[in-house]
Amino acid sequence: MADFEPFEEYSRGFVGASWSPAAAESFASYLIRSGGDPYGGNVASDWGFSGRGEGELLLNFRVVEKVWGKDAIPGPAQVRGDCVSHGCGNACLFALSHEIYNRKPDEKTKRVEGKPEVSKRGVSQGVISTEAIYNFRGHSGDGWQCAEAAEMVCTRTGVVLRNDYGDRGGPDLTNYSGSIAGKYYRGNPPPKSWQAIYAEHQARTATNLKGPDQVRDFLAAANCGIFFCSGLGWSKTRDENGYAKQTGSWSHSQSIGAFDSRPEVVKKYGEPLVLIINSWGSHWQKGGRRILGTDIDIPEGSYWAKSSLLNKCSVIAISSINGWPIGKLPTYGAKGNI
Amino acid sequence: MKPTQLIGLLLLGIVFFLPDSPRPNGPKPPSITVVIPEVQEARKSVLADFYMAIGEIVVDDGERDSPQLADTAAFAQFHASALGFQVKRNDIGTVPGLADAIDKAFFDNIGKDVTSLNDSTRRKVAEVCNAIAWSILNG
Repeated sequence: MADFEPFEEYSRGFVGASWSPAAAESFASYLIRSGGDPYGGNVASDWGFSGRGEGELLLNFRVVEKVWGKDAIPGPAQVRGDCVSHGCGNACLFALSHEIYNRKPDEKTKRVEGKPEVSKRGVSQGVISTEAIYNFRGHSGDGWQCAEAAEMVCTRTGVVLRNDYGDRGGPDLTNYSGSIAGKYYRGNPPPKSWQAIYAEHQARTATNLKGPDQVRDFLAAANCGIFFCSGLGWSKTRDENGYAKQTGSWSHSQSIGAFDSRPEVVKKYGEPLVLIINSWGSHWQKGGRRILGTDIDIPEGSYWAKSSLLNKCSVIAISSINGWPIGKLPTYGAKGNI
Repeated sequence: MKPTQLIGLLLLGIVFFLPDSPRPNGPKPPSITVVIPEVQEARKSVLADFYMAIGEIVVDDGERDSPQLADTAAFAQFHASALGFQVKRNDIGTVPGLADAIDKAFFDNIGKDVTSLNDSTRRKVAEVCNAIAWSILNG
C-alpha cells in the first residue's frame, strides 16, 4: 500500500468506512449492558447540557494543541484504508486531552489523571496508536464500521500511546505502521502480550449522536472526542476562512475538532460550521486556515463544513478514558490561590 | 463546575459558611511544625477557620460510601478550588511566601507523590491543616 493516495483512492470509490446494522446493534447493546445510553440526545438531556454552546465558537482542537503541541494534529497520513481507526483514535485523543487539561478526576477511580510520556516523534505521529484499534477489525481486508471500532476501544483494545513497548514484549508503535495495522485482525489477533498492553487504557463510555445540535452540545459540555463515518466527500480547496464545499463521495471516517455557530458565521455560510479533522496528512487540501474574525488557525489538513451535513453521518462520541495517573504533584493548590 | 468541586464546596458551606452551622473547633497545639509567614490580622481567623474546615472535610469524605477525594491530586485540586472561592482576588499574593509555605507544609508531611487517601493519610492532611491554622493564629 506504499502508493496509497487517499484522496484519489477514496474519490474513486475505495470503501474505508461502511455502515452495518449488525455492528450498530451490537454497539447499542454493549452500551446498554454497560450502563450507558446509545442515544446522545438522552445523555445531553439527562445531564442538562442540551443547547450548550449555541451561538459560540467551540475550539476543542485547541485543548489537544495545549496538551501535546501543534504537531499532534492531524497526525500521519493514512497509507492504507484504515480511516476508521484514525477517526476513532483522534476521538480518543480529544477525550484524553480534555480529561488531562481539565484535570477531571477519573469517573471510576476518582483519581486526577495527568499527561503521560510520549516522545516528540510519537506526538507528531498522532499520540494515539491507530494500529492497536485497527488490529481488532473483523476481517483481514481494509475498511470498517465506526460503531464496531468504538465498541472495540471500550472492550477489546484501548487507547495506546505511540511508544515503544519492546521491553514488555509489545510492538514499537512510535511510528505509524500500515503493515502492523493490516497484519492483525480479530480472526488473527495480535500476540497476547500485545493485547494486554492494548487493553490497559480503555474508553469507558460512548454514545451515538444525531445531527449538528447534539454534536455542538457534546463539544461544549462533555470531555469527549467525536468521530463519524459517512459517504460524503469534500473539496480539495478551502476558502479564506478554511471552509470547504461538500462535493463527491468518500466512504470515509474522520473526526470533529470544533464547532462555530456564531451569528457572523451563520450569516456568511447560512448555518453553523463544524471543523472536520481528516487523516490524510497536512497537504491534501489547499487554502486558508484562519478562523473568521479571529487570529486563530485551524490545524493543517482540516476544514470547516456545513454542520447540517452531520445529519447524513453516523456520529459517535467517546469519553471517560481510563487514563494515566499523575506521578508527582507540582503544588498542593496554594500557589497562585492565596 | 466539576462534581468533586461542587460536593467539596457544599461540604465546605455546611461546615464553614452557613451562619447557623457550628464553627469548626479551633486549632489545637500541633504535633508537627509548620512555618507560616505573618498574615494580616483581619484575615487570620478566617483563614484559620478555612483550614480547620478543609481538614474536617477530608476526614469526613473518607467516611462516605463513595469518597470524592480519592488521592492527593484530587485533594490538591479541591484545595485550590476552595481557595478560589474563599480568597478575594485582590488578597492573592499579598503575604509574600504564604502560598509556598502552605504547599511546603503539605509536601513535607504528605509527600510529592500522588497517593491514595486512606484513613491514615486523611488524618495526616487534617493534622497539617490544623498546624497551618494554629500557625496562622499563633505565629
